[in-house]
Amino acid sequence: MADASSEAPAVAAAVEARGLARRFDGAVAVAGLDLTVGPGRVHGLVGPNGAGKTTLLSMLLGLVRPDAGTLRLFGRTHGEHGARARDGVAGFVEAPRFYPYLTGRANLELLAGLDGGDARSRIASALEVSGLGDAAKAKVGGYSVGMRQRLGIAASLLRDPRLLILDEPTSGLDPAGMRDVAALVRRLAGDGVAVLLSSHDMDEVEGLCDDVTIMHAGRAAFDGTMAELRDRAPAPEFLLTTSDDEKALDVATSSDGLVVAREADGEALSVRAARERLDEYVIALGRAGIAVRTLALRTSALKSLFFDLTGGGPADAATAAEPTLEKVPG
Amino acid sequence: MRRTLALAVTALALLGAAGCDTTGVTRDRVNAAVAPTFANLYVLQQQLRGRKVAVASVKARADCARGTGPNASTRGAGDDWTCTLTWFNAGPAITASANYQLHVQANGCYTADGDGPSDLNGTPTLTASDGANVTNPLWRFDGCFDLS
Amino acid sequence: MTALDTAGAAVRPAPAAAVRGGTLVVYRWEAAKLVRQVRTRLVVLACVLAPFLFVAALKMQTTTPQDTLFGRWVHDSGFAVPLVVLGFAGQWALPALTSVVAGDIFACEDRHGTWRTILTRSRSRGQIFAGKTLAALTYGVVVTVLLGASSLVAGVLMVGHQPLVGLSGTLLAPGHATALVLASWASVLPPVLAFTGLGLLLSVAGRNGALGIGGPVVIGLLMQLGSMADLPVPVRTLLLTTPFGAWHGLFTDPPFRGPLLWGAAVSAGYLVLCVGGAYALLRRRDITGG
Repeated sequence: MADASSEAPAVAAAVEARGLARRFDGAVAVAGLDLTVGPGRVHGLVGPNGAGKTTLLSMLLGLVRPDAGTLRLFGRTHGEHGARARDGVAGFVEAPRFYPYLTGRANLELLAGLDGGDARSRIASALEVSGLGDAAKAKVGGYSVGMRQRLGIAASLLRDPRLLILDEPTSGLDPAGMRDVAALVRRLAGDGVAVLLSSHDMDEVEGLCDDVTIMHAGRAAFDGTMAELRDRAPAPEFLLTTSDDEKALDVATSSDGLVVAREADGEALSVRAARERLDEYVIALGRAGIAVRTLALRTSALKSLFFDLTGGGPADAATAAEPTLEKVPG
Repeated sequence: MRRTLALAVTALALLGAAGCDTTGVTRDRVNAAVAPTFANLYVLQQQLRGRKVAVASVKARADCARGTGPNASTRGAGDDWTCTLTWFNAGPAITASANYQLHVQANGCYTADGDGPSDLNGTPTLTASDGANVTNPLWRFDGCFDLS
Repeated sequence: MTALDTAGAAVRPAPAAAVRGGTLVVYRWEAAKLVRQVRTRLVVLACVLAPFLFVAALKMQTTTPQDTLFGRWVHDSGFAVPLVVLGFAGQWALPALTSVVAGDIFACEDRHGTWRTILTRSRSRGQIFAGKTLAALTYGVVVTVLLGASSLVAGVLMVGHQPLVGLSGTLLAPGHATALVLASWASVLPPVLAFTGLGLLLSVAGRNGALGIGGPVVIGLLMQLGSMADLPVPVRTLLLTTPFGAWHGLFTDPPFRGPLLWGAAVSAGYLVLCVGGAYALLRRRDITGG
């Protein structure tokens, strides 16, 4: 059964988890979850806050003991192999933490010393790749969230990992930083490293990941490749304002593949349609003498699917510019 | 965790209360500790004064007790122990005596405070045979004994 | 003092799968971290300097410490100095000094949130625990040895190496006195190690440096208070402050060594229980949050 997920018969999957479960004080954090990550694949773990992503990643890294289920990293388990199960595995859970009274570089030297081997020789390249630069000479106590994230990535790269586990790696980063992380992830995957990263933003994950697991209340609401997810996605949602919303609604009822509704505040229309149908609709509006004032993408297709799968609906998206994830239970 | 701690403290307290009479400080032990200590210090003091005395010839005996009369007791730590030391001074037939007040601690160590005669243990210093001013070893001395 | 040596060797803990060379890496790593800390350096400096300052203060006055054994002889023999330091400071200062490190060595990771950083590298929890424990124990030994050696040197240099009057009134020659002073200081190593273990346990259980550092001191003071009462001998033997006074028996004539053996055994028991308890707590802990 385990062989079905590996690329080549001799290579064990980077992560092989079956039936993982964990409760905290009676509340279910993870329930019966399966996860497989193959080498060279970028696997996204997406879910709203409280879905159990951090608990799952903590279990992978050996920080939290699962109540049930099996977990193998390159065929090794924490129970049997102890620290050796983490050979070739690196990453961080929640915000990476370091000793605030030491500089970034000193922290890396400390961690390299703990790892042993030739970790020390990788400090310079890890600092370069993570983009910390001169900030490595300053004490970590004064770091911004983004700098801490970069240091966390540098600390992970010290281990020359074959599996990289990143918990919300772009949180706290500016767009340039997010681009750097995305580029790094793609490069590592190209080198055969398996990357498992978590996020609460479906769009961010879409461009980056080969496989995706959508988590909701501790369970996997979807587990498969990105292509499969796209196929399942409903039409994207747009926000439309016109010169005559009433007439625009009438025009819409005569087209199919199109769902147009008035917004709750009456100021705009929400349009759910695939691109081709949308184009036809806009042209039809023009012919009917209705001018399109604004047309903006509100929720991508995948995001819509995400909300469907995790119990948050488009209605939630309507009440805020950014999806308010606190609404989702778990 | 807290309950275990409370239980342990209670057990200790009970043991302590029950063991009111099982202290390691007894009269026999105090006597046996004070007498030879006094003898050795006596020899030292006499040596400082220029007189050679053999320890074996001193044959000191100590008679210690807590309080006097009806309140007298023979066990327990306290600062109300008194000791009467008797030993052979100038020869096998001539005994001398001295008094000490003892503060015996619960851990088996005591401090003996000289209480007469004054030329023996009444002054903190004495003039040695070479004229130097030295500590009088018999004025106050410490000792310890095994409680078990 | 072979009984003490074997007792000392027996108290070194070795949690099951931890002693594999990986522990040594963690031990050296922790020792390097400790050496860099200002706090530990100050304590070590204090241990070396304080006895000299103490003797200097003593020499400035004609009176002598009255409440400690050998206090009355501090002007007459330098060998009284390390014994006064041992008697006066042994019961509270040594537990406090070793707790400075032991009480915080686990709690600091909680404070900085760095458990998840160091537990996701190439060392197992057992190795990290053993390395930290050994570093804390080493520090306790270093502090004790420094304080003892420094007070002996201060006494001999600043007062002299005159013969010392023992606890049975006999005069101890300088060579003999030196040997007994060294043996006395060595005899407090087991209770120091035990208090180190106590600090470690409080550090792990409380996840709080204040509890780990202050706890052993408070417990030591309470035990000291307790031992001032007339306790039955079995209860007294089980108090961890009793071994700090076991050296008295070395200076009587004839010497009695029972308290030394019992002290070492009781200290070993406390150490094993505390370190075992701390390991049990850390092994099962889930690292979450913060």
